[in-house]
Amino acid sequence: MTDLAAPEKEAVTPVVDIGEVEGLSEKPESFGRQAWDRFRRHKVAIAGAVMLVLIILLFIFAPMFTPYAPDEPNVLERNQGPSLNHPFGTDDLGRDLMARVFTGGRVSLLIAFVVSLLATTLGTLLGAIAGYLGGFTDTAVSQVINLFLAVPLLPVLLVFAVRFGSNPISVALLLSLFLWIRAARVVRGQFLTLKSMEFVQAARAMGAKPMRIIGRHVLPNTLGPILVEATLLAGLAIILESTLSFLGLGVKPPDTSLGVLVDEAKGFITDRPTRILIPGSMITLIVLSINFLGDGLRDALDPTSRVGD
Amino acid sequence: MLAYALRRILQAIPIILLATVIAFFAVTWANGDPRARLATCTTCDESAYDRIVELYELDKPTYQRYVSWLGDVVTGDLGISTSQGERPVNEIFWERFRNTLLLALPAFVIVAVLSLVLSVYQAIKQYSFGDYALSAFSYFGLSMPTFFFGLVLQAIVIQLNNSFGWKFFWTQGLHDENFKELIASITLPVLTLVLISVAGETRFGRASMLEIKNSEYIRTARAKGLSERRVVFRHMLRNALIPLVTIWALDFAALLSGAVITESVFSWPGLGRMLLDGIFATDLDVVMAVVTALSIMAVLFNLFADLLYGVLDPRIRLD
Amino acid sequence: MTTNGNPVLRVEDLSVAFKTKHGYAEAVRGLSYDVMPGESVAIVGESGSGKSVNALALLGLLPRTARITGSALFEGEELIGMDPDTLRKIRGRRISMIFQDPMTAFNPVFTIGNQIAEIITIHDSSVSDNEATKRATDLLDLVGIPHPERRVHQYPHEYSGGMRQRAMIAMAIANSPTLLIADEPTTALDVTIQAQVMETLAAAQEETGAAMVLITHDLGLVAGVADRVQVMYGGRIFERAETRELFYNPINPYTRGLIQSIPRLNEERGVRLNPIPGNPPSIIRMPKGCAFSSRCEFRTQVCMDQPAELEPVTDGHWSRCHNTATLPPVDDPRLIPGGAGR
Repeated sequence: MTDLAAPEKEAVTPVVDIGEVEGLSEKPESFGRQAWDRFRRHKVAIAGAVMLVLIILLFIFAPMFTPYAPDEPNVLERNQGPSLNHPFGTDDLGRDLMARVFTGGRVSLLIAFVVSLLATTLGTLLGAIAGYLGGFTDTAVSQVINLFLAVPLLPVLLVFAVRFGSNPISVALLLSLFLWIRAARVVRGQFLTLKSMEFVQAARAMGAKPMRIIGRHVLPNTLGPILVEATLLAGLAIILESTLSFLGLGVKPPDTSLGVLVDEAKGFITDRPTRILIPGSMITLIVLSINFLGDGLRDALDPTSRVGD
Repeated sequence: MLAYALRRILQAIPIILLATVIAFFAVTWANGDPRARLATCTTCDESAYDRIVELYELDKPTYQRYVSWLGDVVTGDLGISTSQGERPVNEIFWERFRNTLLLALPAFVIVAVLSLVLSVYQAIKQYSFGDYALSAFSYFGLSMPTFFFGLVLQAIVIQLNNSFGWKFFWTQGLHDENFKELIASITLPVLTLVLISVAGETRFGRASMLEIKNSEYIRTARAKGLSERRVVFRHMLRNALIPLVTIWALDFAALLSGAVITESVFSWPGLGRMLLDGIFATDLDVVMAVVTALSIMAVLFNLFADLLYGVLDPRIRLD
Repeated sequence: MTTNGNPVLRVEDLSVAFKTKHGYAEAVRGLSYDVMPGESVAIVGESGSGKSVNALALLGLLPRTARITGSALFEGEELIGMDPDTLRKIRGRRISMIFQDPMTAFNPVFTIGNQIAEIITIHDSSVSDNEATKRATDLLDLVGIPHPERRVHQYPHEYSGGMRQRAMIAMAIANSPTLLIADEPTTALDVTIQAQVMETLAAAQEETGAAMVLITHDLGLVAGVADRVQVMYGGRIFERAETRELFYNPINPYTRGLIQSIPRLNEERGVRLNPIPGNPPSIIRMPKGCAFSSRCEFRTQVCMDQPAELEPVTDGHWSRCHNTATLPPVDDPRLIPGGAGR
């Protein structure tokens, strides 16, 4: 639970026997409406969403802010600090850093989006199949999940990255390959829980077909956690992408990303720390917004949840 | 419990084996053939080429090489490094492992103590200014990539060092001439590791403590007339330790493998650097040694966490 | 067996409100009652009636966001607004509380014996841990737990629900308190166990001579145990009488409804249960008039407009109703006293 959120939560009286305060409950509202209300009151989540939209707009309309091309060197303006001409300064080839940060940011966000979409879809499918079918399929999927969980992510990722990482698309594919298990775990767990719930059993007892049960009963209840997982996955993808790129194992020049920009600036930490600070802060800001948004969604969609792992 | 531990270890063996198989094939396949590197090497002669082929059994298919690698590892021979003057990997490994522990151990102790203290504080002073401030801090810790935080620390200390003309801390490398130098060189990397771990653990710990704080047995404890101190430090803490200790155990394994980034930022000669250097140099035995060691660590600490859970929670019986 | 003398507990005009986003929600509204030494008083009401909040308020166990006003004199000492440290020394020693769910009310990581011993040593530092454990064993024996010397070293999860509640009772009487507050002590238990636990509770009360406040939603449960019953609704007492009187001659329409909705085994076939229609009012939107008016079959215009006062009808029998004088006499064959176990 992100209690950064709203001081109104103080109103909740935790020690009191719930039964005694039951009178507090008002007329029932639809789940979607309640979720939206909870989300709207979650100030931090709103802040995250607004921040994210602003950043995305900034990246999309970046060319309107800077007259320079991101890959246009200028030997006369090398390694400059922030100035009116170059608000973020220039790099050691004299390329405008604002243009590069916007371009790199676009790539980082794109990778995050693709990973989030791909890993969530793959994980949801496999998790749902495993959770619904059970039996051998479930055992197989669970064993793969266990394997991924047992092995330290980063070292193995690095081993694979040296071959795969090179352009944004391959980095996104590689990350998706490693991150689908998170969504799969969530979905499989949800399916198992929901399958044993009475309303699903009742539907089954009344002769509803499996696809109908999944479509009408299980999926709508699983959508919330999937959405939350997809959001938080985007944040994780940005961190991992920038880390790989920083280590020289992710996106590689001439392609650029926020991690690449930090990597390129490593050697100038003494003279031009802003070159590290600006793209690094951009990464932090994006991930922060995504995490705020994800936690807000979690609180809104699952009022019983406390904290993610 | 011993039987349980043994059974778990036996179950873990296939997982570790599978991990090494995947890593082995990934490295050999992904990094190509070390001969290719030699082929472009102008100073190397034919005999070096033949020796490498023999050393790595490059004339045999990959699966045979894996089997023979596995056989060596089981007998305690991690192989030979091709990139570091054909030094035995065993020698490099233990030296690097020690260096990583120099970072991971202090970081672990600080993280454990800090996360415990902070979660208790945040749960008790829920909705206070301190609680909000610490929650904000954990958000930052969770959203900031490790390498960026490391670089920021480095940049700050470089500026400090330069403007005072005096070295506070080392920003690069391991300096162990004496204890003072050692402390000066581990401070920044340890701080980096601490920030990254403590954020997540405090968030988790705070949530656990809050759940416990609102539980009925805590109300019973108050109804019994226990002092607030006793309620917190005996009844709440003892319960909060169960999830926290488990997280600590898992985190230690994560600290070891997560050190890759920190070590890279601070040019620290540990396992993480060893792995990266090995990857870039296509040094198969070096990469395999680190990946295998970290996998075993992860599995062992996973098991350790479960065992601790069994010890701390009387409701859990491990058998 | 109402005793003369000073009451152990005298609650006067007690109100408890919780801050919510819609303003203050009044869970208890101007509650007043006495409990005499050795007496058992039952407080009966549906969930949301304020009966449990009242008990937690007395012991200072409500969250700080609760606003508590009024007075509660315990053996002459004012509990409301009492210094937390002084109140703490009363809790568990002179007033003990038994909670609803024995499954969650014990700390899972300490043994039962350890937790009973704790309540002894915390209030009397001269008792050694060994002595305290010995006394815990005796207490477990007293509440009818077999093999207490072995059970004392077991953890809560090794006890059955009924045994846990017995252990809870043992813990509550460990320091021979003068007042026991039992909050829904059998609600979480199987019906077959409920009667046994109630007997244990009554025996434990007898043993210590403590007065008891029994809080329950189950009117059938109080018949064999309580000396007096007060029925709460919407944070207020609606009827108060000696137990027999209340069952034989319920005056308030709400009490009548409650009694009529108790199922009975010795019922003639074909007689239908008669539940009260509707739901209790939300405590954040209390009606302007009588809280029960929306569900009451006897309501008149005045019930909708202004709240009724709690007034004496006969000696010791009070009711809160505008229409006491015009209510039809009690003739329902259902209105006869039930046994302790429903």
